[in-house]
Amino acid sequence: MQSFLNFYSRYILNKPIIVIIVLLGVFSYFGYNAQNFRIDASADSLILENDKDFKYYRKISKTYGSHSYMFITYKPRGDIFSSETLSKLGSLRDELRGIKRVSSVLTILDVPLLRNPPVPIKELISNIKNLENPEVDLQLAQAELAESPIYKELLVSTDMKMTALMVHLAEDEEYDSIVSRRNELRPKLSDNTITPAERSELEQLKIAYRKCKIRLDKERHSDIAAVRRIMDGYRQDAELFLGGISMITDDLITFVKNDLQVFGIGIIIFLIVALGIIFRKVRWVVLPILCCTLSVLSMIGFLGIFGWEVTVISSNFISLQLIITMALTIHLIVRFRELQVDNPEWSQMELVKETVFSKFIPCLYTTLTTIAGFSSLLICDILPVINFGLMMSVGLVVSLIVTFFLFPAILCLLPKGKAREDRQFCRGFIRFLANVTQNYSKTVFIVTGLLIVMIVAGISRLTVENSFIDYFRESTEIYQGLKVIDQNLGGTTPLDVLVNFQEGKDIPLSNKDTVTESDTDFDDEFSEIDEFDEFEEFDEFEEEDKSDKYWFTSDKMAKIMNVHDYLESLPEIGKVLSLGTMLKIAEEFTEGKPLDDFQLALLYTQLPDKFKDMVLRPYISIPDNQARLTVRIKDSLKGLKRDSLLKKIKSDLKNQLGLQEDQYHLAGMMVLYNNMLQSLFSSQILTIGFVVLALMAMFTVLFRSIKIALIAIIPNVISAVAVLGIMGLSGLPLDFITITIAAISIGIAVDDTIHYIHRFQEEYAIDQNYISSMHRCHGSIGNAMYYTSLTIIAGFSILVFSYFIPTILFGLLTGLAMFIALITALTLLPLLIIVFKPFGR
Amino acid sequence: MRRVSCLLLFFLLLSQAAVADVESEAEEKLKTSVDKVFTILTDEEMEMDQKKIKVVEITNTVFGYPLMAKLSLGKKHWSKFNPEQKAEFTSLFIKLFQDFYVDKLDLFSDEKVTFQPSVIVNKKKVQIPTVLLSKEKEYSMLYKMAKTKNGWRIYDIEIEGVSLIHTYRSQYNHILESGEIEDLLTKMREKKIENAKVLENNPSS
Repeated sequence: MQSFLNFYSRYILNKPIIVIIVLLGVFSYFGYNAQNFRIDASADSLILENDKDFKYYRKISKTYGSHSYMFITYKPRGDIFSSETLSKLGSLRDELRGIKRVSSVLTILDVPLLRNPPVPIKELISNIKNLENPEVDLQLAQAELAESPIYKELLVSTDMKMTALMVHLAEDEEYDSIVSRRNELRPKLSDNTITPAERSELEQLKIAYRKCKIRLDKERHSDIAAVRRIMDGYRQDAELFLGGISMITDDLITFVKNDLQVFGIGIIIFLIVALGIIFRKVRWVVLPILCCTLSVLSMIGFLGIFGWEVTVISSNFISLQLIITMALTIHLIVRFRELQVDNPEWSQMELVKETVFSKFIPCLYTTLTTIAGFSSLLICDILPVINFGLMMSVGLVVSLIVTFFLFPAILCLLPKGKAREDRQFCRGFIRFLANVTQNYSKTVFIVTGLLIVMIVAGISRLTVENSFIDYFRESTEIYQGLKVIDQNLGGTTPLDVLVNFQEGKDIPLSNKDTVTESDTDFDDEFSEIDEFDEFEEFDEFEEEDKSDKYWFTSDKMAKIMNVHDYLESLPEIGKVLSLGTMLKIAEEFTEGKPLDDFQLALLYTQLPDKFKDMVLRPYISIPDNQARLTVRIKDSLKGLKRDSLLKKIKSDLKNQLGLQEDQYHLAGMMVLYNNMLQSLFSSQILTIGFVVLALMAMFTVLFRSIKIALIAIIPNVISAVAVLGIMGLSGLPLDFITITIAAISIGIAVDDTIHYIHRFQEEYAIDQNYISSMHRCHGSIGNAMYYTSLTIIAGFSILVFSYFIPTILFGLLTGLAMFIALITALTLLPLLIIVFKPFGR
Repeated sequence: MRRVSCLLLFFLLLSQAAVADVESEAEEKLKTSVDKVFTILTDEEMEMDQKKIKVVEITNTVFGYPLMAKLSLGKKHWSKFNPEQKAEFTSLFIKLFQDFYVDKLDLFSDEKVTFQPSVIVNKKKVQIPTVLLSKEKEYSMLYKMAKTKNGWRIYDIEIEGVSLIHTYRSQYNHILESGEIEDLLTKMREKKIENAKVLENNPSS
């Protein structure tokens, strides 16, 4: 370490101008690359690569096709079937069709009306009407749409007061081909069966994917803006909302951009004010702000260079990095000013050198402990949380380097200035805490005990049930649109139920003994042809056995219908679409009788390919001998228990509908989302476990005493898990952002503990008196802890300006954890030191 | 050489005569039955129930039910049925097949059938293409007939390329691949009862 400090002194402190010039070059390089910084809000960014349900979901999407579309809900002031409304709807549709990448727009005006009036199918085929047909009977149309197995809850709400327009977006061939090839190569990579050529192809695909995605994001953003502009022209006549995955993804990117700007600017303004109040000197405002902003700029450039995309979860990395960098600089400033007061005769260089040398080790440690907090996120099961942990760990290293290079280099060049003691804002409060620790030790322990009871009670009530809709503020269009679609138009979260029709099982020969060759000649009526094997003579049937048209057996259809009806009967489920929906429509023409096998095969052969793509491809896969039922779950339903619902569906498919376990499979966003929710508990336990063990190890190395390590970790763990207890008691569920609070807040809060214990050791060495050491610590480092904690809390509170509720909760709850950590660090921690006397008696 | 040519000509003539014989015999049988069925169906004075009974009587003489039953199971499955199961299966198949086409008779209105030249597959099999004209639309129907000791019998009909035997075959295959022989027989028994109930509740259908 000494040689490092010598090197540091010789090359950094003695050559500040060169250091600054080099740093300017480095910052310019990173600043230039900051333009490549990207935000990703696609579903891909939220799901782990090795999630087997995600792999299955990809396979299903490939088999059945996945089309991107948006919903526009349209609730007119008057009746939706009035001629005025229909004409407005028509003109809205036509305007939307004019957008370049909109491939089609489906409205109630376009769908074929099959009972207008009810006629036999032979007559219907030659004269299918829609709502725009002048001869249409509006009342019959209304009744048909209200009851239609397809259009009800898809294009019209159940109360018939709202309609929806489905805006289909054109597929992008380049994107599809890249994703398809990438998905072919990825399994080979994970199985280690990839060839060197394929490996380099995969690398190229990654680059091509990124470029293509940047283009698509831009195009989508401009398409959505165009859709919204068109919608604005109709808002005086109706209430309109936009919904759909494309729109959510685009809006999320806007939210993340907004968060990055608001948090960044907000925290910088806050820092300027806070530093101005605390230190009242321009240099102590400008210098930390330079360190903070240049650290963040370097990190943004770093992310741009390595193509690391920021997600909704990592959107607060700027604010966190600013806050943590500022805490580092505050420690340096406080130390510099202390030294300046104590050693007025020292030169500026001596002051800077001593400041850096005395603070480097504690700052390195506090950074390492904070990194331990963030890197604990790497062991959880949620991809964006892992990325966030990784991003912040790198960010902290960047901050440490920038601070310890830039801060001393600039400070060396500045004049010494007047020594001034730091202002003590809340000396009374710190003194009060010191007195409480000294005089009310029992009370401190009792309160800690009560806090632990509350934590246990709260944690036992923690849940992981999150409504996706509730992630957004009520004022956002995502919230409003999703709520309307969820409650009136068949639910939001998609779930696929796949039914496999198992074949290939050998039939047991229950009557094996009685089967003889002569049995094949069952009837003597055909004696003329019995002279040769009948089955060989009629082998035409063997040849054509695999023809698609014979796939549609009544038995399979009955199974699909049963599953369809079962899913529709569940209150949590909104719209169900499957081959069963089409069969229900067909049955309207057979007086409710199910189609027989022959009719089904005939219908299939008569169906034009265009319709096969529309009504069959999304719902059956003949090569896989599989049917797919697409379902939307009512996400905002009160008391919805996602995991229990999925378990119930699986159990009912087996026990109630008689399917075997390998005959059904659940897939889709609902399953992936639930997997993520269910992994929250284990992720929470793992991350806390990791951070506690890592910090214990670090403390043991730092203080060379397990006893001190234990004393140091206890108050921090209590403060972090207290947040979980409070969440449990107040009914706030864990989500993929709030699970990071405990680990992060331990990581940040231990910094104060390290500083405090470090100082305590020094103070104890003076007079070997625990009580007076405690008072001196509170009077010195206690103040620094108080400032940094309050600044961090205030900094985190800026996150309440986010549109994303989990980010708001993250800000508030981390702030709360930091506050509890401050109180425990100034009461419980010194009390434990006084009681257990780790530095000797 | 001349003798060889004569022999060849003789054989050709002989085979043509045999083919003509096959074609006319099978086609005549089919035409007669179709005519009879159309006469009954266009009889405005006859009740639908009565029409159905008559049609069944006629078709019993032209359909080769036992062979159809066998073919609808296929060699793989048929060999695994014991004699009692085969007997029951055949009887259930005949009943369900009759129910199937009787059910379709309600749809008959003013259809017409035209016969096209037959295709001889071999001396025991012939295919007779016909065109069904219904509401100015044409539907292709292919009758497949086989020579039995009781004469020519239909063993399959293809309508617009969809084979009746094939649809049964894939249905039975699906049930047998995922279940037992008894499951298939149970389903067929249930279907028979269900059809009877429908007929009871709605005699004209």
